[in-house]
Amino acid sequence: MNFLKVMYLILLLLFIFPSQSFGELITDKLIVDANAKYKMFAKNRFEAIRKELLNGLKDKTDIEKLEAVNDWYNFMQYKSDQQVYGMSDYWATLYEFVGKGMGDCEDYTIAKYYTLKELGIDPNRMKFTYVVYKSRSGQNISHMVLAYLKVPRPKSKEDILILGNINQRVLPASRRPDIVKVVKMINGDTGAQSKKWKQLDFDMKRKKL
Amino acid sequence: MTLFKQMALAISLIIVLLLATVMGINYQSAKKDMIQSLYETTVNNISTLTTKLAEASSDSAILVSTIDAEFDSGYYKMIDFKSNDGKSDYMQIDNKPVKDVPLWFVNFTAIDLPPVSADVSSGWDMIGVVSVASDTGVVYRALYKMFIKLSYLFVVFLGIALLILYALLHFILKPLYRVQSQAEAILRNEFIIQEKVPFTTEFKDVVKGMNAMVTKVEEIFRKGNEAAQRNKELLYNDPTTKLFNRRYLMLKLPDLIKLENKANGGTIMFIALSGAEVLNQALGRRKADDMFLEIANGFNEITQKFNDKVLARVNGTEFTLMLPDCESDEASDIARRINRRFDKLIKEHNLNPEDITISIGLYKYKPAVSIPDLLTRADNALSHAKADDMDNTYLYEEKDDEHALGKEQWREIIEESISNNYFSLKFWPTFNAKTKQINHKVMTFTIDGGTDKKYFYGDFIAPAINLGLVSKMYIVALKDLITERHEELDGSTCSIRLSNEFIKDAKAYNELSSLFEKYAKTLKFKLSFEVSDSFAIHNTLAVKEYVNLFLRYGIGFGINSFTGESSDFTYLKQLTPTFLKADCAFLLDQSQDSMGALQVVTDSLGIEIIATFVKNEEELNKLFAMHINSVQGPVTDSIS
Repeated sequence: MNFLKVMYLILLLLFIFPSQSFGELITDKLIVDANAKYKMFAKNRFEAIRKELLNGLKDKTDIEKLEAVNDWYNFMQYKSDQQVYGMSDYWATLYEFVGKGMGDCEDYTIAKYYTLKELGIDPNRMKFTYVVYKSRSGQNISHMVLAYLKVPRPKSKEDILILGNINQRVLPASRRPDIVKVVKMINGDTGAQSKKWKQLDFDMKRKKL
Repeated sequence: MTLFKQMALAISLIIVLLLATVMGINYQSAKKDMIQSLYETTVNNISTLTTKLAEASSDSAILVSTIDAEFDSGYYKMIDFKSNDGKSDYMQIDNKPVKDVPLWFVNFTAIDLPPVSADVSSGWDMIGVVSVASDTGVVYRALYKMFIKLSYLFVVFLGIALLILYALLHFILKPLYRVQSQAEAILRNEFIIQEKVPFTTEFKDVVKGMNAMVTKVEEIFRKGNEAAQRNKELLYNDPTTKLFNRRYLMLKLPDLIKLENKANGGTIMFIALSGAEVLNQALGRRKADDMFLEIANGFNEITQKFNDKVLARVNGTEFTLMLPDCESDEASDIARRINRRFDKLIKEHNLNPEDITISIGLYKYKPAVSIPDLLTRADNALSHAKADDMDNTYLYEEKDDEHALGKEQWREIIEESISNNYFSLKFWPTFNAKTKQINHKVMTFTIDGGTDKKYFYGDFIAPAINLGLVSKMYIVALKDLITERHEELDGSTCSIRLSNEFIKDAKAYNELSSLFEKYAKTLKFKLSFEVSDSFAIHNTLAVKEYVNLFLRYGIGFGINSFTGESSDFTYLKQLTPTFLKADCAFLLDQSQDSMGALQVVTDSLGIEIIATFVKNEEELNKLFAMHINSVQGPVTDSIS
């Protein structure tokens, strides 16, 4: 029996574990590289993610993890892709976003997604959601948020928590009247591999700064 | 280029063309199918997209979100929406270069898939036009992967096809290789009959034809050889004793005197029998002839160890034994043995030893002696022997020149010449007198080590043989010839007369081999070597080894000092020389029949006869009449 258990563990390590993860999210080498490329503040940010989020939230509940991660990333500065990358639409890796310390709604969503995934949140419960957000001035804005399904098959808006960067609190969809339309919900790296996702996944694996 | 290579090249080209065409068609067809498939997918996508956009048209934010969501979830190069009122225009475009595919392949493939456009309408309202361009990167990547696979396959198929082709051609052309070997052997004047007749009809006919040709030529050689043998016996042999006659002796003497040997000369013996009439009366003509034959056989046995000897019956009662390289002590011993043998014969035939006697005159000559002096002094020695009642043998010995150098002095000179290369090379032309072209140049060398150290080849060869330095001396001279530039040899052939001592030395063979190995390919002239006829006859196997070495490096080979000594020319067939040099006097002395027979032999073996020591125009014209055009000797001065 013991032998079978060992074999099972080996199989798990060989096949399952590598497919679920792409190595440690924040490595020492990455911190050194970030320091070289983006200087001290970026280095501090990556160290903080490792210490406060990845290590500090290990034993917390999923909701606590969602709130802490959401809060941590929402401290980043909002800047459009045009301003940061000189192009109309660009999906930055967590590393580029944290390294530069700024990004747009998609970059917040991506960073939150990968951090929560690293913290053990089921990636199939996290959806990249294209929504239309109504601002206080009444203007409709195309926007992206990370939606977390509290149960695998949500039956009401109560079962879906929204992690956004405009309204910075983690609230159920029922308490987000500012989201006037949900255009599309898609899976992260566990879903259909579109061109954009393929590129992002590739860049995340090579820890593109 | 060999036939095998030509065929292999032609068939390889066809295989390459075929494979390339098949793979090219395959590639083109795949490309066309992929583009068509991509186009159809785009049409399907645009159809769905127009419906979604129509639903989102009420709000530009929803429109943008819809386009973003669609663009991010699929494989698009561009989604461009142009509203009719111009207020909600939005475009998502990806201009990044194609990933994982080299640029040259992208340029080479050049997929041109124009965007597909469709109207977006809601009810009766025409809202705008959406254009969609699918991401062609997918096609590039798929085609590139296919291209790589096809290239691997191409290489593998080509490799296998060439291997099969090689084996097949090798098998089919096997008989042709045998035909080629036979043809090469014919060119080398070797007679090889191909026993294995090929299966292929054309090759079979060729082999049969070549076999027939070789058989005929061999037959011609055999007949020529037999005729030459008969004529030689008639011309140069004593019919009773089978010894040579005076005519042959006189022809051969100049060569024998000059023969290179360690004795620095040799011994000539005149043996005269007195009482021949008594012998004839006592035994009868026939038995007397038998006794003469026994005497001759005795001479042969006693002088067996001398290779270059000539034993001749110069008249009814006189014999001459010409023994080059025979010292006086050895000669005296031979004389004693001849006496003993003769006494025994007299006893056996119950004859009176006082009635029938022999006298032996010996003359130990030096190479510088002239023919008349040689004969006169030997004759004087014989007269002394006849006149002496006590001793029937008389030795007349040429004393060494008082000023002659001693052995150790020669050693010093030759060794110094070897270490400092004092050898000075000289080249003498051999002409084709008809075309006035140089046939080849014969190399000889002298010692030139300063004013007091000048010696001719004839001066130092005997001491060199005595001291065992011939091979070393030759190697130094040959190295000079091969490694130093001799402009006068450019484009011509240089022939070197190899000393017998050199060929006998096993070390010399290895040194010559390594010289050829290093330098034969870089030579600016053609090399050729000569050995003496007499040596080739008695050492055919050793000479054959040299001939094989020469063949390996494309070096020519010839025979010099040919005097028809052997009664069988088979050694010529074995050695296949390209030329045969004979003294002009010997050639002119030949009867028409014997010359004809000799020429049949040489023609059947592809050997050119070259006359040496041709002195004047008169001799030259006589040689022309015998169809001998290549000459060497004083006459070449007037030709050049």
